[in-house]
Amino acid sequence: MEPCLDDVLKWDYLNGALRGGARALFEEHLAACPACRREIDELRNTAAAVAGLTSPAVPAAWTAAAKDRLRAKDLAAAVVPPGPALARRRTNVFQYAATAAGVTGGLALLFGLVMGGPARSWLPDLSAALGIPGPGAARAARLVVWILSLHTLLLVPSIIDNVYRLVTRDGRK
Amino acid sequence: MDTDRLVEDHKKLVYHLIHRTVRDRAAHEEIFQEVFLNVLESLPRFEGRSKLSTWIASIAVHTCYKFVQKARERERIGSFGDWLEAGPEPGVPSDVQEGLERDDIKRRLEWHLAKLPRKHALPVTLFYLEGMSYREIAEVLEVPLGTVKSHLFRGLKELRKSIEGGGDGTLLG
Repeated sequence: MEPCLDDVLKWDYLNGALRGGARALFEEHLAACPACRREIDELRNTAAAVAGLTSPAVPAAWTAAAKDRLRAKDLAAAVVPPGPALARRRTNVFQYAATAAGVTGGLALLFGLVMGGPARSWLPDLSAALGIPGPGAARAARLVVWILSLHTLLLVPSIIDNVYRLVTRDGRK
Repeated sequence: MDTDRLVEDHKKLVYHLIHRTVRDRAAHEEIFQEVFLNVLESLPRFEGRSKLSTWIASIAVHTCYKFVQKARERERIGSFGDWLEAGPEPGVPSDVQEGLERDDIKRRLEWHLAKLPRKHALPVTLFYLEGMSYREIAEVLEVPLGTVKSHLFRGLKELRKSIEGGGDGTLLG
């Protein structure tokens, strides 16, 4: 006759984890089923024999070698970090500077393109205040606006990239 | 980080799992070192959700799996679960075979345990020899809790069958 109860149920009974009504029902079945009774008895003996086993001894040389390698690796990890941190700080400074330059250029572009007309009418007052002859100041201002505009156009991809990096890094913190 | 203590506290567990999982005895020392190096490397990611020993046991079993996968790259080892399910590699480890006198009960039991498939040998080892709970074993072997109990029960049954088939019935009293 084949044993007829579920393995997990038999395991729980074997280990005293089956209690109350479930245990009473299990024992009622055991009393009527010689195959299950024999199986439980046999496995109880097997479990007792296995529980008497001990862990194999670890060779001392292996332990010593593992300790040496871990100490060396731990020491190396403790020495390395400052480099990347410094590089990160430098990158931050560069990113902030590039972003500031880009924003300044953008404002100059806005000033030159959108407010070009009114700006030109202010120039005579400005040149008078600075003591520079009118046409010379206007030419100089136009040159500065063009240079800054060109600079801004060249920096647009870099500005976008830097703003993105600064925003995403802040998001990760 | 006290790496010496890390090795000292877990060396038996790691050695035992390697011993039970990989047949190639010549590779055991290398795997032993590799497990502890992996543990140290992964330690910053240990979140303390389980016991440190459970987490280390999991790393040890996975390191063994990766080792076997690498060593037998021509064969198809499959996933971690497939590998656990698979039967033991052919043969019995030489150091278990040595000195198998009839009266050497513990070594003969070890010999029979070494013949079990990993899916049965590992739960039996972790439960009876390392004192792990069902939940911890389930975490290490990545199987449901009920499967752990069922593997434990079948592991004992197969062990019993192997012992009786090998004419070692007296081992079980």
